Amino acid sequence: MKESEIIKSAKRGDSEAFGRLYDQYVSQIYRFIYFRVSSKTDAEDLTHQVFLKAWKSLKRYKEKGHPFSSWLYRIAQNTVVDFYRTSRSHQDIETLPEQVLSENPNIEDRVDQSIEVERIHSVIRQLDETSQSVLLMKFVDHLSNKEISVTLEKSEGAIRVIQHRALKQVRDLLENHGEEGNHTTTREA
Amino acid sequence: MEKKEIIQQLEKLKSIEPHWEFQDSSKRSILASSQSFSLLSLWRPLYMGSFAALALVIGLSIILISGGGSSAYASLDMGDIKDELEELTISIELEEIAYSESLNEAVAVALQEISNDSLRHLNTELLLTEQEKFLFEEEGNPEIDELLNTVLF
Repeated sequence: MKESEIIKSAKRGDSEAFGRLYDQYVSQIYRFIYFRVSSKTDAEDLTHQVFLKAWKSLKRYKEKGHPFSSWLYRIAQNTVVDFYRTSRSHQDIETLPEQVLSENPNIEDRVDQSIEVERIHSVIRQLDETSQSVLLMKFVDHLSNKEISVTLEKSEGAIRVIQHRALKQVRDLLENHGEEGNHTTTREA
Repeated sequence: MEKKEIIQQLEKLKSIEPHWEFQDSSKRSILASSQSFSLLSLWRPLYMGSFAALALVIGLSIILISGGGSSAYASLDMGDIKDELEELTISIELEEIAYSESLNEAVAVALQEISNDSLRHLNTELLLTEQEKFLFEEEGNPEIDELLNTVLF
């Protein structure tokens, strides 16, 4: 069944159809939020809110050539803005390694992956919000430039420029990060 | 570091996912809630429309009651301004005509009065006669003169 048909069914109140949309998009919406709030609990709460809002207002959703994911990202973006408007005392990044560890069965792989993910995550967090979103949508969730441009309300050209700059920044930061890591290791040895 | 390597690093972030227990409970909770469509959102345009209509009616009523609407709007229309100007000129001309008529009438009345004999106070001869009369009376009363002499001397 095509996504447009699933959306139509969900708009008619078919909860099973909406469940399928939920399964398809929950991870990427969760990641999108998680990178902004940096707290597992808050990310879960806000992800729940996003899909609840989507379910409640699905009848008002109109397909205008934009993908459904863009609509969800827009809801997520507004939800995060509201979250920071009401309370801005959440900087719980400590849950990340634990979270990654819980997903992987092999202990060595789990540790390695946790360190790698933590490293790249700490680098990404140093970028501005738009650059973070572009990299996440493009290289983690594999959205097209058009989808990203609709979600972030920017032109496709602007998205390409942001993406290019963000990648360069990440490269520089990773290299510096690596050098710092090597220095630390040398000093410790 | 190559672009490919960076992208590979970024793809590792895909391992960040919500816990399956959260997914399960969240989804069940959302789907258990009714997808009720708020009647308020349906009626909102009607509310707004009725408020706008009410405001319009009140505004028009105030303008009509105060009676200032026509002049206020007329002042904005060039045609009305021209009409007003023409009416003003005509009324000035009519006032001038009325003034001239009254002036002519006044002059005529004055000339008639001058030529009329009944107005003797303007006649020089009459005035001289009256003066003589006054002089005569000023010659005095002998009784009063006698009494005065008694009192004074």
